[in-house]
Amino acid sequence: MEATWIWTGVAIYIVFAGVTAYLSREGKQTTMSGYFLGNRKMGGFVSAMSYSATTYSAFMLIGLAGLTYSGGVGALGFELIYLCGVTLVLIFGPRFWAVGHRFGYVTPSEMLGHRYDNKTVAVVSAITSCVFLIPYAAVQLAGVGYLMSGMTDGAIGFTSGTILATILAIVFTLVAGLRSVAWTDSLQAIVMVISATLVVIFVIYALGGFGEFFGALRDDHPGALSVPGTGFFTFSTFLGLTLPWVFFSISNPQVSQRLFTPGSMKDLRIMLLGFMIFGFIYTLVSVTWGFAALIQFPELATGDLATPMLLASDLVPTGLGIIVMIGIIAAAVSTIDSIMLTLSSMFTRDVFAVAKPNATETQQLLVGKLALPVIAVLAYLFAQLELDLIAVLSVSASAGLLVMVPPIIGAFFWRRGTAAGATSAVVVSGVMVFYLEFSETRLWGQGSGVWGLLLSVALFVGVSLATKAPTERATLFLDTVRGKLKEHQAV
Amino acid sequence: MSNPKAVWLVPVAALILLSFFVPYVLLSDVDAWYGSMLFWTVSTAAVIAVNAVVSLSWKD
Repeated sequence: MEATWIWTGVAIYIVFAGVTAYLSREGKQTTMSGYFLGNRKMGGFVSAMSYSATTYSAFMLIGLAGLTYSGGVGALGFELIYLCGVTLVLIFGPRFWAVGHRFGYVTPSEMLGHRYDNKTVAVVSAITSCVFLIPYAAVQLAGVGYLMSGMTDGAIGFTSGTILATILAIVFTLVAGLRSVAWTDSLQAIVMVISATLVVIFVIYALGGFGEFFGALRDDHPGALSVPGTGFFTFSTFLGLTLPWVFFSISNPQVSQRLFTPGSMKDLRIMLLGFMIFGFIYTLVSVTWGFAALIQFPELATGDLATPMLLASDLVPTGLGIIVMIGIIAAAVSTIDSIMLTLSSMFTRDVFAVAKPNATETQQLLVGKLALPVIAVLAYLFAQLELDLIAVLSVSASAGLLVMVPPIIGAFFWRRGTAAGATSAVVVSGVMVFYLEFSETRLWGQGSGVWGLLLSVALFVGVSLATKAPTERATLFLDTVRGKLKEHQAV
Repeated sequence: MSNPKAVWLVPVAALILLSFFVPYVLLSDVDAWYGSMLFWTVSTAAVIAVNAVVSLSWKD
């Protein structure tokens, strides 16, 4: 594609997203929850679209299509099982929302620290999130660089692409905190789901309709529509990929923090259902892209080329191809800015405010705003370094954050859980996941997430039973949860 | 679990477990759109429907 086209598309995107961010402002935000949680008054639809844009990074449409291209229908199962796992929001959504309102939590780690009556728990889970999520954001930035340079045959350089994405992410977060992030996310999500679905319609039509489409898959690519099929998706590969994602909605702070933000239970419901419907459509679209590329370009060197080849092909009108390409870049930005916002709030609330207990809300907010560009620049520098370590941390992000699941579930369902149990589960299992990923070890053929989760459960339960539980705090927390669930008629 | 609708979470858990079992055991030889693809799609739609039903009772 001509660099001029891409720049024109990017310019139009910046204008629309900039205006959206500006319009999203609502008075001056002077509190942490005002800035980082939209005052806990976010509407359901915007929350749903923003949750979608944050969850589905640029690499859904590149990575999942590529995974389908390489491994067949197992990619669909993997992503849909994740979506079924979002049912956890049905259980944990009202709980996070209720205790957030009652105790004023800004971050999920702050909630854990308070529940286990120990600030170390908050510090440890905030730092663990930073260790895994900054490299994850860095890889997203690098992805924008590769995508822009790939789309224009190098006319737009890798560095220009990453700088552009970094600046946009900083601007979208600084304009109005969560509100500007959520509104620009929503713009991106809506444009993307419509344009990506249009691509499917064009492609299926050009390939002769659904009958021809599946006929070609069956005849020319045996195994593409079954698992293990071609052998790519062995059961242990499938399990290793799926397990971290089943718990994504509570293990990843950039999405679990969103459970604090809806204005009402009705908004929380719209967020949950809106996201599930969005995710369902988006998953089917991405998988169809992968299959279409397999039919049309069966000889690609790597699955990651499936989406770029499909969008640049005659099957898709040029204008639509450009919209989707820009949408993919915007999707990276929408994931990065949400992660930045969450990490900045965690650093401020769980590290700075613990180190300086007398800091006022205004001081905390200032530190939070200063931390935003610092996190962005760190991610940018990591992206430039292109170190193997960054790739390892990024890949292990979902498995690494999985170690937080037992303390999170325990906070709501196990009175005996203790700070020592939670801390040891997160630290020891987190280090083990990192080691397994770094040394590329697959114990008994299973992925690092499986072992991380098992060790975390064992440590959380074992160490908790051996230490004294914070009885008073647990009673206050759990009684609040019980009362609120009854009041709001949630399960 | 103060809501009687909590019982709906059982079929969700069952569907997630079946999403591992059925495609790998029962449908591994069905290499067509009406195999694993249809199973995963329909079971996810069912899970979304359960979410809609259970959250219907949420009150402000």
